[in-house]
Amino acid sequence: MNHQQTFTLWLTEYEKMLRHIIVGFEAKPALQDELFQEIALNIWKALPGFRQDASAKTFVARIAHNVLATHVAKSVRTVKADQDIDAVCATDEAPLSNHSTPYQALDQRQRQQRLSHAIRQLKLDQQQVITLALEGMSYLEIADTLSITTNLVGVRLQRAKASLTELLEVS
Amino acid sequence: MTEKKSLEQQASTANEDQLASANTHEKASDNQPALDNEWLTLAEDWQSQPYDKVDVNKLLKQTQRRTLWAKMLLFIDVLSTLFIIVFFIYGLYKGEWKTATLFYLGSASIAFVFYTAYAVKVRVKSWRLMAGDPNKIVESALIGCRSSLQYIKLIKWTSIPLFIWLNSYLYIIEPEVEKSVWPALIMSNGIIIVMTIVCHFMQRQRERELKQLESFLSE
Repeated sequence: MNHQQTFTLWLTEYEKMLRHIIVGFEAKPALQDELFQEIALNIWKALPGFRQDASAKTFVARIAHNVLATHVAKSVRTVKADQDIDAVCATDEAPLSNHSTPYQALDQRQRQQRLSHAIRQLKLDQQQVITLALEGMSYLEIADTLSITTNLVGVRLQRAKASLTELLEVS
Repeated sequence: MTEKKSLEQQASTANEDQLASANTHEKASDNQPALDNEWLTLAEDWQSQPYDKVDVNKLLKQTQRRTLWAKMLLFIDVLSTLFIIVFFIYGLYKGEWKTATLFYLGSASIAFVFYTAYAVKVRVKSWRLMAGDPNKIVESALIGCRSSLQYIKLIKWTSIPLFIWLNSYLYIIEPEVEKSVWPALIMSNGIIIVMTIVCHFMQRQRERELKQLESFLSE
């Protein structure tokens, strides 16, 4: 398979994962598209160096996370974290009847908005592990993607979950 | 202050590593946050987020075009230099052109060779360092930002000698030509001014980005 075919195959296969990960880092749709193109460009550039023995999924996810880390570094975090807070808060006013937590009382679209907003408020290392874990990746895959140990994945994930619990008020 | 920050970072990393080793012997069910009960719902919500599907073939073409455009600017520099040199040689060979024109074309050829050589050196060096290693994307962004800043500064500061060169040339040939030099004077100076202003704003933007990237990497 040549580079063009591999690129097309990877983008078709992992587009959903990439789109979801981006949402965990950036709220503005226009910037989300720009980041998706930036990730695609970096995949294209990195393709010649890809070794067949490695997993394509973790390779693609690693590129995405490094591009997004650069994006976080370039943007002013305080502005980024707050930019969609009003929009999300407006949708959060849902009745609590018959539900044990405010999060459960929301419909799916509201829950998705609230979840992605909460993830964007986490620290970068927590954002990274939680987005990959939510994608259903194993500790080993997350460790491989982020170039850290599986133990560290566990620690960061627990911390990320604890922060997310507070932000989502699920308890 | 920096030493203190560095010590705090070391302590934080050490704590994280200690916690990591402690967790090796910890069972998954121990001390779980409340979120674990909701994890399945969260994962379902996360994975079912709607998104607009991209046209992959269109994206492939766009990506190829972007990599090409990055090199196009440098290619234009090389082509312009070659064009000026060829034009100068043609003028010399023909022997009918005015001395002032030949002098300015000759000096422009030499200046352009130095300018293009420096531009090629700056850009090619950064492209080599920015090899597609997925682990070095942040570092590559930093290198790219620095290189881009150097290139922008080069174009910006070149506008000063270009401004002097162009105006003095038009001033010298003005008595010898039949047509008015004013349209050429206004147009060429206008281009130089626009070029300088654009470069100035791009320089400020890149400097801001560079500062943020450097502070991010030092964290």
